[in-house]
Amino acid sequence: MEKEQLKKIKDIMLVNEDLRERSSEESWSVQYNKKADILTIGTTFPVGSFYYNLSDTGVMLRIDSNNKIYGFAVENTKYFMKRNPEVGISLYPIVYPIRSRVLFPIFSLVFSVKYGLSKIQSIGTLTDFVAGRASFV
Amino acid sequence: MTIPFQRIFCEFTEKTENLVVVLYAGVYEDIVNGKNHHQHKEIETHLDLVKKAIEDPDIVLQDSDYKNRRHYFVYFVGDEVYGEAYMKVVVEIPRFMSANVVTAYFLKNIKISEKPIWKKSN
Repeated sequence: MEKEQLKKIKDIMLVNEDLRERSSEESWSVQYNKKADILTIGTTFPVGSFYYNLSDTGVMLRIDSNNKIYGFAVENTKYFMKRNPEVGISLYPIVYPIRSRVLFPIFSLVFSVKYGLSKIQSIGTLTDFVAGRASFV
Repeated sequence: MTIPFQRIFCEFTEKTENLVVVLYAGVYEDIVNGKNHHQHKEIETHLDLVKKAIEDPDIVLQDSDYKNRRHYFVYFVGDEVYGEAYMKVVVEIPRFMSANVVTAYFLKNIKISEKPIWKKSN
């Protein structure tokens, strides 16, 4: 079963070698359904297309009978983000738009304070260094 | 104008868990017209399959993440537009309300990791 699925996924990917180019040309969109916790990415899904599970990852490909990809869907997106934080970070503003709007300024403030402190720290170190050098002169 | 809590259908899952599952007009509109996600036009033409998946499913799986969600599957042989696939209906069972359809779509293959809670005997 697993081998069959892998073969199918390989076949799909062979048909869609230009996927990256197509995604920018066709101006794919990202939409998030909060109630269903499902994130969909892609162009308009045409009539006759269906989903194909990408193993047990939670990602589904929207393909037609000729294996052409029209987009993706992420099932249980919130849990998917926890399982795959490296991908999840890019999905965060879409899944949590309000939280992101609030947290972004806080994070930037924290970073600016931290950066400011480190600057002060480096100034302090430099002062110590100069003071130390001066005492030996 | 559709009333969001108007019922499109109300099915009883007597073969599996004794639940009353409702598909609300608001959810149906979201699925078909893609208000919050991409359109799943297959539901408009195959609403009878959504009903059948709940009433007489081939397999029912427990959602691996949400404890209060079930996935109802019914096999579809295909027609002139869609090839053979499963109609997957995601049903949520809230604590104080009747179970309701969250989303539905055609899916070619079933996840191996999800635990079956009911299977049709041949």
